[in-house]
This record gives sequence, structure tokens and C-alpha cells, in this order.
Amino acid sequence: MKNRSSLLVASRVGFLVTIAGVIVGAASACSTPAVDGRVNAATIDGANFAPVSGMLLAKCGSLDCHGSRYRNFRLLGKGASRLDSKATPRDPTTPAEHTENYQSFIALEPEKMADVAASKGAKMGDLTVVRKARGDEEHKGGKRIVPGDDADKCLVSWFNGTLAAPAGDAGPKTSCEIVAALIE
Amino acid sequence: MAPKTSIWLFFAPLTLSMAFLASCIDPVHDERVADLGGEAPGVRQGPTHRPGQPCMTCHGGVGPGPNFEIAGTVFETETAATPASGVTITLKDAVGATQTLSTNTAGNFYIKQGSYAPTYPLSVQVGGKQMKTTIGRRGGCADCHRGVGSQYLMPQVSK
Repeated sequence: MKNRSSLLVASRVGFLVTIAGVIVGAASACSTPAVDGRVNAATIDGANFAPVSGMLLAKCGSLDCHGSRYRNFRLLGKGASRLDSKATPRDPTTPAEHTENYQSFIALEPEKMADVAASKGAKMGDLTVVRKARGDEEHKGGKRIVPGDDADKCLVSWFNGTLAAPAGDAGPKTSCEIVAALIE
Repeated sequence: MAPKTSIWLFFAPLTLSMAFLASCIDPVHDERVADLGGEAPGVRQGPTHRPGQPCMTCHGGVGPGPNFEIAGTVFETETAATPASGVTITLKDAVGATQTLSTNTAGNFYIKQGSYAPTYPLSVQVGGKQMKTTIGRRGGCADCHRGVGSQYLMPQVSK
């Protein structure tokens, strides 16, 4: 009898513990992420992304690649899908399209992007988009950026904050401009 | 002991071979090839077969045809089924290297992988018409250019 009652108590305790566990689990699943766990895009330079966007459009933005609206990493602008459906493929990329491309780029792996931005590009290789572009990871488009080439210099300089301002018609072309000219 | 050993000697290579063959099968690709249908009556496999079809389905690296770098068909107009023969295709790659091809009697043109290795993006001129956008990697025209009035596809290539 004693054994039977102790078994009954144990099973009740077990049941209560299980219920409590379910309640705690459900409550934590519904809780919002901690504020410090969010990625702050303000730390990633969006103001100077237009030249990088132009480079990406030339290297990756054709309609059969990331210029297609059916890709996770989408680029909009000249030679790619357009933000304004009335724009022709040859119209220059608009500032709004550069902004969309910036959002597209940083949203691919936001948690890593913040880290890479904080490292001033030292951790660029952590980004899937960079590894694919460099051919370090399987990529249908193959190796599009070779470390040290103009496209790479363009991306690295954006991350480390040394992106050269366009010199205009008179001055030498920046690395970003040289690549962007491929689809001129 | 001897009969059991001989059974294993027979089944082990057989099982391994079957596993190897199964790993080579790509049902999605096989279905795409099958969807193209058979050859047109009176046309043998070769440079003039299957005009207008997406060449790279079979010639894009997975087989069953030889690999092409660039291939397509040019028609007289965007809607006509009449092929345009003798049309010059000019390809210009990202470093400015050019390559010219000419369409055959079926309107087809192609260049084999290995004999041409362009740096993408590639710009294309068909006869007197310049393609408005560049090609990033897909060398088969009909991958995109095979739909009239389609929201998702471009009209067939015409001179």
C-alpha cells in the first residue's frame, strides 16, 4: 500500500513538472528577441553603397543571374529587373534602385553582416555572398570576383571605409567605376 | 562457409554498382530532357535538329549531348516558325574579345565548350540587333527567349 501511494505521488509530481515545462517553453517561444540580439543596419554604410551597387550589377546583375526577381539575392537597375516597370533595361540605375540593392545585400545574412561591418571587412570571408562570388563555395555563376581585382577592391574599400569618391570625367576611374563600365 | 562467401562475392559488387548508378540519376534533368519530345520526322540528331528548343537542356553540361558554351536559334520574326539562316551572331565578352558565328539552315548556331571561353558578362548582337541586356552565365538563348506575350519569358530571337 505504501509503495502504491508513493508511486501515485511520484506520478502526480511528474505530471505537474511536465505541465510546468510546457508552460515555460510556450512562454519563452512567444517572447520577443532581446533588444541587443537585433542587428542594427545603421552601422553598415548605406550612404556610399551606390558605387558598389553599380559594380554588383555589372558582375552579378544580368537577368539570368541576380538581376532576376526570382532570386533570394536580387539586384535592380541597369541590365537587371527594374524597380519601375516602365524603365527600359538600358536606363541608368536610379538612387532608389541602389537603395534596394543595399537592402538586398545586407539582408542576406544580417547577423554576420553586422560583424563584418564592425571588423571593417576583415571578416568578409564569413559572408556567403562573398564566398560564392570568390568561388570559394559552389556558385552557378562561378568565380565572379578574384581577390585583388577591381571588383574585390571596390567591395573591400566599401567595408573598410576607404571607398574613393568618383573623380568625374577628368579624374581616373575608381575600381567600382571600372567594373560598372562593363555594362555601359 | 564457402557458399555464403560466394553469395557475398556476387551481391556486394552488384549492390555497389546499383548504388553508384542510382547516384548518377538526376530525375529533374531527365524529365526536362524527356519534355523536349522526340526528334522531328526526317531530322537526325545534329546541328540542324530541334530549332527553337532550349539547347542547354541537353548541351549544358549534364548531357546527353556534347557541351556548348553558347547556342540558340534565330527566326525570321518574333512569331514566325521560319528559321533565319546565314545570320551573323557577334559575341563580345567583358574584356572586349569578340567571336562571330553564323546560323545554319535551321537557324541554329552554337559554339562548343572549350573552343570558346568568354569572360562574362557577354553582349550579343544578332544581325543588326543588339541585345539590350548582357548574359551572365546562361548560354542558351531559348532558356529565356521562347515566349510571345509571356510575363516571364522573352520572345524568340529574330534577326
